[in-house]
Amino acid sequence: MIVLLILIPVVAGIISFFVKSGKAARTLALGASLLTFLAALVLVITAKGTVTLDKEWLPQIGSNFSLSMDGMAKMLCLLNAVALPLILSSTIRERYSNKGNFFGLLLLTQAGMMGVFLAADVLLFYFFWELALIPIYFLCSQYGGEKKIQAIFKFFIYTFLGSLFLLIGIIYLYLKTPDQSFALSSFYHLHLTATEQNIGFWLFFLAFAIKMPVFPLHTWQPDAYEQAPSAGTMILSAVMVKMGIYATIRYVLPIFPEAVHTFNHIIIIFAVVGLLYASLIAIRQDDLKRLIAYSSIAHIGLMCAAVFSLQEIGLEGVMIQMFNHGINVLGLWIVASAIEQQTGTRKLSEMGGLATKAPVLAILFMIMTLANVSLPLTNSFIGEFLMFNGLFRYNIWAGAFACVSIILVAIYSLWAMQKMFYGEVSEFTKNAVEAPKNTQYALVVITIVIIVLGVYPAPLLDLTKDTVQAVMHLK
Amino acid sequence: MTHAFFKALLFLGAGSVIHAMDGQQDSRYMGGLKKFMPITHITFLLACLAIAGVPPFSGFFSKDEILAAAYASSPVLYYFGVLGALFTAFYMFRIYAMTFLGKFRGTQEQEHHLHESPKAMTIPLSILAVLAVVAGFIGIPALFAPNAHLLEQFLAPVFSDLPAHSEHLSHGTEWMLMGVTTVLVILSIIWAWKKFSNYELDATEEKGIGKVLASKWYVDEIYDAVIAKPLLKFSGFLKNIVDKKLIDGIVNGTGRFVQYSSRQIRLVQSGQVGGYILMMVLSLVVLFVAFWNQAYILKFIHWIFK
Amino acid sequence: MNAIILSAIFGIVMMLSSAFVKNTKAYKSIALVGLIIILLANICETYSHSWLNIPTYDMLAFDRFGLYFNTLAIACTILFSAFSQREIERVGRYVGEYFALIFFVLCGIFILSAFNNLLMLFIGIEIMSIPLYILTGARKENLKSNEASLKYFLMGSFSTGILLMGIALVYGGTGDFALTHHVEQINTSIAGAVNQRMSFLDVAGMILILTGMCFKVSAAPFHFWAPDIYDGSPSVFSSFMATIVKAGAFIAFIRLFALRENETTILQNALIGVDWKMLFSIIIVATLLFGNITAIFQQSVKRMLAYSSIAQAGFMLFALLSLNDTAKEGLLLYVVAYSVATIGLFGILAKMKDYTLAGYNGMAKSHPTLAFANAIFLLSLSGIPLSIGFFAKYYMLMAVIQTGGYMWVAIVGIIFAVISVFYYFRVIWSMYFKEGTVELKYPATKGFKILAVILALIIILLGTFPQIILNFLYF
Repeated sequence: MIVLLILIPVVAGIISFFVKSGKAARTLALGASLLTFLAALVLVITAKGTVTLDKEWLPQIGSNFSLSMDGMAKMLCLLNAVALPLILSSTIRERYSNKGNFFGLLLLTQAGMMGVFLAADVLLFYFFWELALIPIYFLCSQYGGEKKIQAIFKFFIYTFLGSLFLLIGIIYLYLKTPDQSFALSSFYHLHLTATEQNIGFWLFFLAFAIKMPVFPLHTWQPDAYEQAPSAGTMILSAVMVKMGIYATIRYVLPIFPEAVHTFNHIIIIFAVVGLLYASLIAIRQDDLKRLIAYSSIAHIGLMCAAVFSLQEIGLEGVMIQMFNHGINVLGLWIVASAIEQQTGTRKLSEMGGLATKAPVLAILFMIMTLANVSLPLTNSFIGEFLMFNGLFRYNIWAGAFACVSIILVAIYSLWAMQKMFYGEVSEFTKNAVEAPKNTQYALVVITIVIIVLGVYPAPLLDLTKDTVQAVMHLK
Repeated sequence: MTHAFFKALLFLGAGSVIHAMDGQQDSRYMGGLKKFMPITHITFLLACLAIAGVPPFSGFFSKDEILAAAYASSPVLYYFGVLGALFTAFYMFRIYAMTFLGKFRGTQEQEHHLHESPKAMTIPLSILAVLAVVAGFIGIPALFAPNAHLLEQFLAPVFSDLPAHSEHLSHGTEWMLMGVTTVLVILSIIWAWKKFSNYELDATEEKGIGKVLASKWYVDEIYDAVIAKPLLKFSGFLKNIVDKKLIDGIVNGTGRFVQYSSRQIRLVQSGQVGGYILMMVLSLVVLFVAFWNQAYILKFIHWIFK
Repeated sequence: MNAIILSAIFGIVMMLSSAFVKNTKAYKSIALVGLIIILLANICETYSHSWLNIPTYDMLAFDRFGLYFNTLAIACTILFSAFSQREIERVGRYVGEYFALIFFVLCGIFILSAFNNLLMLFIGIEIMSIPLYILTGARKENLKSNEASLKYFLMGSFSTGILLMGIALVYGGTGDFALTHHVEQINTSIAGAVNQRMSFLDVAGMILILTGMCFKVSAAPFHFWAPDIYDGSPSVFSSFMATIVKAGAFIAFIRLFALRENETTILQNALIGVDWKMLFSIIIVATLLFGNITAIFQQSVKRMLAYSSIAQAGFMLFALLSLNDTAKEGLLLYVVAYSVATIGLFGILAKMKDYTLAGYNGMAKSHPTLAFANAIFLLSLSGIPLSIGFFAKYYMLMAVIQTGGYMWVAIVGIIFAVISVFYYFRVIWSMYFKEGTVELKYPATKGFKILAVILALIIILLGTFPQIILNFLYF
């Protein structure tokens, strides 16, 4: 059952390459993504505890095809599974030259990310980690904006550098395992000296930090988000960025506990600085896509800081925030791309008076923005609150500085809204109409999720409790 | 956190008014909008009440809690807090009164233009207004209803391990503080209301401290000079210099450096066999030298790679 | 022994048939049949059914590693000749002789995979090299081809001189050409070796031999011949030289150093601290530097591939630095990975009219099959998972990290691996993301396309299950 989560998108993706008709490819992709979503939902609801699967793969080097699905994996698989249908349904009207290709790459990306979240074997994890990257690279470079090749390549080469460091780290640790095995459990039971921990820690964390991205390794992100096609941007920021946080919680914290205690201060400093830095830059951004990109960097910075605060409460916050930020940022991107389609510009200064022209869009954007600001009763409030709480317990100054970002977020969000929706109707907005129905439906679904999870976040907390406990009390 | 509700509400309300006024932002040229835009009026009023901290609106409880906490740590902080609260109440109601009460002071043309905002604005306004009013109740302190801190209950799974509040004031003190602030706030509201509800455009300018207080221009200017401008400048600096030039410059510079060195190293490949053989012989010599000095080289390399 | 004798026989058969068989189409069939017979004979020998035996008085020693390498080399040659037969026919009039020379080269490679005596090493190298000088100049009317041939010959002779000098010095130092001795002799020599130090002559001789071998595998700073000669000679033969021949030289290289380290001189090495690792790490860094950095600037894909072959040699040298079992397995994997991908790239390149990057523009539109195959080859060369190239790099990194103390070489290696991605991906950019029309000099037949896809699928299959190759070493 668990393997279906990977298998459905892979098979559908490969078939999709050979589908000539755009309509058929669209139906196939939508069907497959809904099927995956269904499978994920059934698994998450019915399965109690951790679901595992173990098949022999490379016995000579001690690597197995083993998947396991604990609370965190369940939640992120669900996010991954829910994101794709939403992305597809909201971008389905966009015109691409070769739809079969486009949807195939999108589905393969999803499969790769599923693998990352499910893998319980470190080599397998590395495999999927890279495999998620290749299709998204092709997708964005083929269908992106005018400077796509350079921008996406920067993203690619950045992450590739990180993952090669990760590979060295994996091999380094693998050689230290007593039974020469890549199984996650034997990595967990390694006894490493302090130096070994430090080396391994940086080799691993560098890859994850680039993926997140943590300041000052973030510069690929705004460029990539700006240039990628909207579907690519959505999947990148809604799901793929979470891979970094996920991997940090799954690998770095349990494997290198002492190194984490040594270096968490410096990482929190970088994360908090990055949080403020990205928020400040967002204030001056005139480009809607870059604004969202920097806002996303800020949120990720907070999550990273909360992870390394090593507080149970902070970790709980990170867990649910991973899901909620995914949903919110997806909503933001969908609205942003709808606005871009309507007005033909991404510049905030050219979008005045949109509220009169497209009130529904304006309301939806406002909801997404408020969720992004983590207003109470929206989903991200709880997560953010818990994370700040964790940070405050770690160090009052770290928490205080991080809290400044709340104000900054409010400033840039509200300014952006003001600039876009009120004021004079500009020449770009005068012909704008409401977004098409499919986009609106996708946004309504997201809104419902935002409010439901904002009012009743307990399911997510319960779901990820086991991982939090496991990570906090492993050693 | 209740703050977010009424802040958003105020922003939207202001936006709604400006929209109705066709871009006019100066409240001296408004007035009497009550009858033109009832929904905006009511929601704005609620927001003002909430932000001023009038019971039982949401701002009251959160403000009260903050002030109580401040008092617990230092009375000086508390006094500053109260002072801030009074200012807030005063200027909020000044704006309210000038905008919605009294007579319309704008141009004829604008008066025709006046209308209630579209649903896109009024619906979120109403939602937020409701939230602003009730949000306070979920945070009602133990004073009013023991164990009724709904928010805490509601998040019980989250906060199960939270330690109890470390500093608790006695209920009597809390009542006292609450009463004092509320009375002061209400007084300042009444003052503002009276003073500005029949504001006339050509009214004589205030003198002295009243002038400073009454003139929103000063507040704006100070705010502009102290916070907004430096903030914008600083973030502009971060955006254009630090991010683009420094960090991205290093990243892209690495790439450019590699390309540059490619262009230089390529020149070694001259196509001349003699040159190649010379290079080979020289490298052979280097290998010999390196081999017999490898201990030093290795030490050096390990020094670099720690 | 089977393979050596049969390949010599088939070389002569091809020569004779070029005199007596007039139909040029028949040559490739004869050659293919010959190759398959040699392959079968070699596989039989691996399972200890050697029919053709000549007493060699310990000058050749056939072990599983060497024989298995032969199998892979022949298999690659079969792929090569099946994939580029038409190009071989187009090079010139003497098609039969080209095949004859290829057989002689193979004969030399088989000797190199079995030599147990420095003289046999020399003979093997010469048998392998001399036909190559001819093949390089096969396009007689082409000035560039002639120039390349002459250059190759001049520099080749020079390196052979160095090699011979080294052999002479080693003989002077040890009084023996043999690499390994019978057991009794080793024991006595160990008994006597306690007070015996490795002589200066021996060490100096080994360094000279090392230089000569570095020339053959095109390791920097002895690589200068490679780009000019690969560029000048006909594309098919560049492909052959860059893949199978280079692999043969590598097998000789690792055999030489593995034997000398493990059998006779290990004690002496320990005594005076002779450690080749240091020299190899210098050579590796130089090779990676020259190969990768210079490749970036190349506008011609053919020349880029020449530099890429140098860069890949740098990675293969990791095996020589570590000289452990992982390294040997890894070298075999690397040989296959690198050869299949390079054969494929050169094969498609030979069909092109324009060898520059611009010539590849828009290939994905006009020739999607070829573009897909090309992309897989390039991804494999850059070491992306799911292609055999990943496992090749993985084994090399593992071998180095196992060695201990040379982690920095691995880190330098991955940095250059990231740089290599840049020039491999430039071809992908051209093919997929740029507009243009690709003109083929020779039409790509259906059979050619199918073969290209088969090569690509081999890469993916081996990349998923590398044990298909490695299992043979464990049975």
